[in-house]
This record gives sequence, structure tokens and C-alpha cells, in this order.
Amino acid sequence: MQQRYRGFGAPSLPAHPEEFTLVRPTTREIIALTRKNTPAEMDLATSYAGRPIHLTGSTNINANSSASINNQALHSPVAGHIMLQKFKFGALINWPSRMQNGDYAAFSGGAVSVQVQLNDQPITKGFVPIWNFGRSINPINEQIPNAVTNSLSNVNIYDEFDFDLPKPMLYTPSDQLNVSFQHNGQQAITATVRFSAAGRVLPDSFRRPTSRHLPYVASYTTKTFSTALAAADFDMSTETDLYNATNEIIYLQRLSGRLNLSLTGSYSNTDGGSLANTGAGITGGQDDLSSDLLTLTVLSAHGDVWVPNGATFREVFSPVTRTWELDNQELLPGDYVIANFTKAAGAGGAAVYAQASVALVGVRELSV
Amino acid sequence: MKNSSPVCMSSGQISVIDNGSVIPINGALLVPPYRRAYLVKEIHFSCASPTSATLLTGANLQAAQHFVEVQLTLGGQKALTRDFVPIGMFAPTVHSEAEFYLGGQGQSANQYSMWSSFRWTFPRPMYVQAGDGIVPQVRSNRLGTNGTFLFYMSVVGEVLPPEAKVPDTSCVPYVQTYRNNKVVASISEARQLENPFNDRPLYCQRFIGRSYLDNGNGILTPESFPAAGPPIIVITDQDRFPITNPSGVPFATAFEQRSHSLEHRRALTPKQWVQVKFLSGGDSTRVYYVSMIGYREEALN
Repeated sequence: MQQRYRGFGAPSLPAHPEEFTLVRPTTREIIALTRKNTPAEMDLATSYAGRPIHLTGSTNINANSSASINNQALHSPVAGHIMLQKFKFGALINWPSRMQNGDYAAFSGGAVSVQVQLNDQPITKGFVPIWNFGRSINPINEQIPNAVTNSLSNVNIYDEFDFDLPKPMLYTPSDQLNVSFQHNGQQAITATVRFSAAGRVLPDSFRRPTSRHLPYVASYTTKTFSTALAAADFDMSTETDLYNATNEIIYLQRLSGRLNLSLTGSYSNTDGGSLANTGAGITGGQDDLSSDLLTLTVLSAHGDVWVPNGATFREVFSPVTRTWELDNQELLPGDYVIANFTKAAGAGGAAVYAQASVALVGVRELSV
Repeated sequence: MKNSSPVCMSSGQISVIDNGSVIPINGALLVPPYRRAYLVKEIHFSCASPTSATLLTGANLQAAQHFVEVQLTLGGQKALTRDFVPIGMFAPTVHSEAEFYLGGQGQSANQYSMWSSFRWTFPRPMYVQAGDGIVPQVRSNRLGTNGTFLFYMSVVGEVLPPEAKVPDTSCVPYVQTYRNNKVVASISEARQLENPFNDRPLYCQRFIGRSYLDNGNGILTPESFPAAGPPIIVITDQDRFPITNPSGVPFATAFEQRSHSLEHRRALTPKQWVQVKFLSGGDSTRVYYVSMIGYREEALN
């Protein structure tokens, strides 16, 4: 018996389920049948031997206004081609202290939106909230509270949301990323916003790709729901919100769902503190309370029911990642998805204000 | 429908009364419309603790998932679980803070609930024929003392196009649990963690291990160990082949505390079983669960 033992806690036989010899790849055949000619199957490496590069630029925006990043900051500084792998969106806001309380500090992801273009090609359909792009690894780590305290009453909070591109994006010396931010005006506070694009400079020996994969993100933000309203309430996206406005097939990477919340009154929480009293309006973003606040149904343009019967927001969008991964679901040119949000009738009571934002995140392929 | 389409089907809100009664869930809500074959890739469980003062006071993290158990079958015939399994015992933890979180709708002060959320990604996607579906039942295990739990379950997958090839077999997951309920030294019985199928292997993906402190008032605190440290356990298979070190391993070491899982990736032959033995260190206030997650192939007609 001792001879068979191979060490502490080490299983002796197959190291991976795929290595079970008695398993026939039946379901894989089905998946292969439904997954033809997607970008994921195209042989383009996701990492390169070239040196890393990080392009970045920032600007300030006032409430209810927009501002662009200086184009020169995002222009390629090298002669060779770049493969961009990640976009990063940051917002530094000097919130009043009442917005900040332990882990329940205000998130700015829903308060700031961004529009991104590559030359004349849209990467976003209009402005998209900056927290609706990527898959969160840890929602708490998206925020750095108390980054800098510049007075006794106010506190700086820096939020950053990363977006790993579905496929690396070719960026040549003649290309130009155009990035504009918009302050949604939910608080009259100036924000310092930052956009970064990180990737690798392709080695000279690297064969230049003949196609380019462009991310595509379209979003819809609901009206404000309030639990103070006893009656049922609903909101629904239109055919031109979660919509493929390009001429190419979009391969959907995920649906992203976030909920911006604010509270009135004081609520004890399990940390022994109290949630921020933010007054009326949407400023918060501590979205745990969304668990049973809203239900969601989703339909496609072809009548496919993606979410029937009304699932709660957090059933559809993971509490960890805030996303529903879609595994390259196709969205044809002109196709759309309708999201229908419902708040059930309740007793009224203390007000929680909630505003949901849902985004389609995918990729399309263009010839260079 | 030209292409496959994603689908997320919810049971809607189920009230689970803490009296041990079994509550069936309307399985029709968990079958995609339009009668198409589909793949099931994930099952999500969400559960809210009762909004009673007893369960909500203090700084204890409430383990609502421990109170609620589900039994799952495919079409009422093919078992996905052996008997009832606590909803926290299906999958590794990805992010512990997201497993428990504050919920509620802003009722009166201190009347909110503690939510648990668990996502079980199947070892392999499960092919389900048109019209067939997962039939769940849910119950409280009565370790709590009062109140009603709000429970949601959703099935996430992909509806296949009509021309999709029908496979010969489908990979059907199977989960079973052993519970050491406040016993200092105990050993799982032969049939508690086994391959129950006579004619096919069970591919064991992993084990999940969790511990709770039961203070006797219906409040369970997860991740609790005695002052002397975690109990010492040994996991072996039927042939006494060691899965953990045969001289014993602390519970919290065998099951990594970030994920609560012990990856196994090994096939069990028909009727082969695995044994979990608590050598020492258990006590009369803590409950320990160990589950085994795997799958087998089922022929399709």
C-alpha cells in the first residue's frame, strides 16, 4: 500500500477531468457545433514577447458635463505596432464624508460614463458607465477609500475598473483612440477621471495581423426605483439601447449588471456601523441590497428568452463578478436585447433608491 | 431560432419554513420555453435568512446556506444529489465576502436579511433533452429556530438550435454529503460518499469541506474551529488508499480555507466508496460537512 502512495494529499490518477479516458467528448461536440467561426477559434496569441506599454491620460469633469482625454496622450509613442490587452477606467472623487463609511463608501462607477472610439469605429455605443465593462475579481478591491484626505470633512475615493479585452486589439502608429468621459450629475462634485490602455509592442519579427478585433460595449441605465413607492414599478430598455449598431457580428463576452444605490435614514449593518445617509438621489453603489429589489427578464430580437419569469438581479449577475458570461454568443448586425426591470409592490417604508445599468460586452472583427 | 441562446431560468421566490417540511419547486419554471434541447452549465442558489431579531443581532455572520438543503433530479428520475444537500456544499468559494451579504428592501430599522449566494458550475455541461428539466425540492434542516427563509434557485445554460446533434450520452453531475454533527471522533459510513451506480464510473471532481459553530440558539457561525485548532481528519478510499496523509491532516488544511475545496479528479469504480474519518479534535458544538462532487454518463434515448 505504501508503494502506491505518492505524497501528501496527492491523487494518483488523472490530473484533469479531460484526462478521464472513459469519457467521450459528447457535450463538446455539441458546443463545437454551435460555436463555428468565432474569434475565439482564430489562432491569435493572447500574449506577446514584446515589451509592455501603458498609454494613459486624465482630465477633470464637472457635474453634468463631459470632457475628452488629450488625444496625444493616447497616441502610440512607438514606431511599431501595439497589441492592446486591457483598458482601465479610473475616477477620483472628493466625496463629502457622509458618503464614506467603511466598506460602504460611495462607488463612482455609476456616476461616471465613458465613450471610446478607435478612429471612426465605435468601441462603445454612446456613453457607458465605467463599471459596466469588465468582470470584477473582487468588487471591494475596485475601490481605494481614503486614498487622500484633504480635509476633515471630505475624503478622496479612487475607484478603478479594469476591462480585459475579449481579444487583443491591434493599435498601429496611425491609429487614434478617442476617449470622452461624462459626469452623470448625481452629485455636484468634480471628478478626476483617467483612461489607460495597456498592452505589448509587437516585435519587428511578428507577422502583422490581417484583421483587428474591436471590443464593443452597449449599455442601458434604468430610471430610479424607490422602495418608498408601495406600488409595483418597472422600466425597460428599447430596441436601440442594448443593440449591435455595427455592420459586423458581435461575439458577446458577457452581460454586465450593476446597481447604483443610495439610502435615506440610518441602517445598522453587520460591521456595527451605519450605512451612509446620502439623501435623495443616486450616488452610492453599495449594491448588496439589490438582491431582491429588482427582478429582470431578458429577450432577444429573435424572440429567444434569455431570462424568463423574472430572476432577481443577483441571480443573473454574479455577486462576485457582476456579470453573466455568455461564451461568444452571436449578436447579428441590427440585433438587440431587451431588458425588463420590475420592482414588486411592497409596503413602502424607508427609501432605498436604485438605478440599474446593464451592458452588452463583446468583440467584432474588422479587416485591417 | 437560428443559433443557440443563453438562458437563465429562475424558480422565483420560495418560502422555506423552518419546520423541516419539504417544499417542491415548480420545475416548469426551470425549463426553457419553445421546447428545445439545452445544456445546463450552472445552478445558482440564493437564500435570505429570516428578518427576525434573533438572527440579525450581533456581529455574527449568519450562515443561512447551512439551514437550507436541496434535492435535485433530472426529470424526477436521474439523481443529481443523494438525498438533500446543503446549498453551500456544491461548489468552491470564489469570494467569501460575496457569499454572505446584506440584503433586504429597506424595511424598518434592523429588519434586513443576510443573504447567501452560491454558484455551482457543473463539471461538464449537462445535455438535457427537449421538455426535460431539473426537478428540485427544498427544505430546512431545522437546525435553525424560527422564521422563514427566502430561497431562489436558477438554472443557467444554453438553449441549442433544432439542428444540434443529439449526443449518445449526457454528463449528469452527482453530489453527496457526509455530516459530522457535533461528534468528537466519527467516521463516514460506506454508502455516504460512494459511487452508487452499478454499471459506470463516477468521476469525482472535488470534495468540499465546511465547518460551523452551533451556539444552540439557531445561529451558526461559519469557519469556526475549537481553540485547540481544527480537527484532524483522514480521507481514504475503499482500498485504504490515502487521499490525505494517512497520519491525519487538519480539516482546515485538507480543505483550503479560501475555497473550501480539495480537488480530487479521480474516477470511482462502481460501488467504490470514500471514507472520511475524524481522528480527534471535533467537539460538541461544531458541525462539519464534507461533500463529494462528481459526474457520470447517462445514456440518452
